[in-house]
Amino acid sequence: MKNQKKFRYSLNSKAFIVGAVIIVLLLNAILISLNDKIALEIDFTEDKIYALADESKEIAGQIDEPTEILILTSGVDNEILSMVKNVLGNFGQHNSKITIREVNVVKEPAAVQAYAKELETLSQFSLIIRQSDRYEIVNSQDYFSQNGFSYIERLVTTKLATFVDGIHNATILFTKGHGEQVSEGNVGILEMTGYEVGQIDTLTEDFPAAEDSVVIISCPQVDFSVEEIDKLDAYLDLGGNVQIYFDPVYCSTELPNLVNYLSEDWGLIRNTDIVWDMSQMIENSNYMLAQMSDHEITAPVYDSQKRVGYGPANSIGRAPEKPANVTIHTLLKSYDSAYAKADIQTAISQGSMEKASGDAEGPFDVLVAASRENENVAGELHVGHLVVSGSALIFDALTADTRFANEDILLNSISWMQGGESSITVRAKMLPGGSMSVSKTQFWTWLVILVVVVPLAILVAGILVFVKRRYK
Amino acid sequence: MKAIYKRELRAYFKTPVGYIFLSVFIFFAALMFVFINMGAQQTSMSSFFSNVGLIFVFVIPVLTMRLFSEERKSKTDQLLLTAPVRVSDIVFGKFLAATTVLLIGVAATMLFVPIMELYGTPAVAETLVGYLGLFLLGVFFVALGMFMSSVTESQVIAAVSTLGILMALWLLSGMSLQFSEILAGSLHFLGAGLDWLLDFISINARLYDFTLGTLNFVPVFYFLSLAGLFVFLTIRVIERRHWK
Repeated sequence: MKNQKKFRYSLNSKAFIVGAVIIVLLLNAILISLNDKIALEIDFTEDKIYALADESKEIAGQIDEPTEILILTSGVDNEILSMVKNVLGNFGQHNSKITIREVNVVKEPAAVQAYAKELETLSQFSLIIRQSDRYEIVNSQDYFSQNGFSYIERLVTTKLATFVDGIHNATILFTKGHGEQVSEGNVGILEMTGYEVGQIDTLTEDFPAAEDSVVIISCPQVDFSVEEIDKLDAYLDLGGNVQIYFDPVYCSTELPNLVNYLSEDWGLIRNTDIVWDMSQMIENSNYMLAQMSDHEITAPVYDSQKRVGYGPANSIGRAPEKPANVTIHTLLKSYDSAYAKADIQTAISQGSMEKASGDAEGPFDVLVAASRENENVAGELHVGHLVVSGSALIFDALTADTRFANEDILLNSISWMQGGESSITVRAKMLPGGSMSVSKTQFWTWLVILVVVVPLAILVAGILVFVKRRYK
Repeated sequence: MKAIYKRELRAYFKTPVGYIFLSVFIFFAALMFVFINMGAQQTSMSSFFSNVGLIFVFVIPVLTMRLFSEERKSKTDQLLLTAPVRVSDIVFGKFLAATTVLLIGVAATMLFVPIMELYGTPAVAETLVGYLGLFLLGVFFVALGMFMSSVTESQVIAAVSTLGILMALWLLSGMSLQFSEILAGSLHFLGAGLDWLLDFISINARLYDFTLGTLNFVPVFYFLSLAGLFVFLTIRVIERRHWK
């Protein structure tokens, strides 16, 4: 009888244990699978790095065929993989047609055999996004910028957009042959946004189709010929889009043909001065804060309260007489505290950028947008768009820093030129963490306090308690 | 339960165990903080959290080894088991006491955040999520260590076996075995199951979730459910002995 009771208890006990283990495994399995479908997390990162932007949700929502995102791994689990899975998981949660799968390229070579050629250049945690027989590659080397920003969401969204019908981004062509200085960072941002970026030699090549392109003249140091100016004008007449970046430091050449064209045909004057504002300097840089003016381009970032910076700039003035078919809007201007030295030589001879007598008083326009209507012989109306910047640095280093709205202004200006359509402007996200400034002395002081003094003090306290109790 | 909890907590600080645990843990955690964060001049503590988990593997067995094995060896467990308290209260009391000591250790390392504030601007919310993950990992380890202590009367065996299991879990997390590839054909289903299990016990991956600055309820539930399971198993072990 006693043995029977013992046996029953033992059986019950074992059943209980097995049941508990199964329940724990089952509940975890359910939660893990639920996590693929619904968001079971709260994002505490400052820049909401794991929350999808509206543009990403929109693109993900438009995927209507099964699309698989393969994460290429070698079986190693680390923070980057977790971060990538976290971001991608959001796409999967938004549209069940998007599935995420980790592929161990060492153990499952067959799964990626079709991409053998691409694999040679890809790093660990790169992505293959595939839909039926089409695929796109995202190289993990492009995930993060050197100054701590994540482009994962933007890259994936841009690639997913290629599977969505009706999304077509413009071609952006940088002119060459005039000593232009093109920011590599800018090119990277434009490419990541889905634009096709190339070059055009305006002397020997024809301008592209006006409606699908943007031509950028970035910091030219050699003037454009009359023929080139005529081609440029014809392109704008057909509704073309042109951005011109001047700069008083990097390209201070006078460029009479280009400057005269802007003045006579667009009513815009590129001054050769140098705008500076000591009271609006951005910490540890040569950038100054600018004021945003209300316009279609600036409106989306106006409410974000993000700042916009500009480097030393040529002020952009208005010609006394402006063609009637041209409309000009200021996008960015300096603060009232800004002043302008006559030119870079004056600044050098003064030996300082401090305000001096004879300097012109601010504010000054440093970024303007203009549009020009033109009716052709057939009665068709074309609107050409022009953006002129007095500082090439407006769209340079600060565009990679999401604390500033420079990138948004660049992408919005391109979007405005295309009638507000076609671009996917998913922002880069600031990665968690920042930097500290610790001197060597401080480092060694904390090392001694934290690693030696504190643990030793606790240990001594323990020994004292032990000894006291022993000899009590 | 309150009485057991107080008794156990007092025991940690009347013997050198609590002090040794705290000083060793703080020593290694501080060493990592100083070199990973202050040395590299970065305020992100994600690398710190990933590495501190490894310190737990070594120090938590010290914290849990005596919980039941000492009572069993000195036969005081018989007194405890015949006292008018439920077995679950005994187990929970001891578990909470060990968890409190763990919490003191983790909380002490939270002083690193104001130190970073002196020289930079750490993201406090993200860091606190990391600390939560670290604490939950510790809670799971404590529960497992307590279970191991309940099955043996030797403190050394309890400590070594806990260390062995925790080390195995830690190492398995970093392994890239793919059973579904190894076990082909009709055994593929078994392979897939083993892959899932291997992925399931990957504690590193769960900890990484916290180091990213997101509070994901899946790893929270994972650590709590496993801790709960081992507390339950400990109760069963003690009850079984009680019936015997």
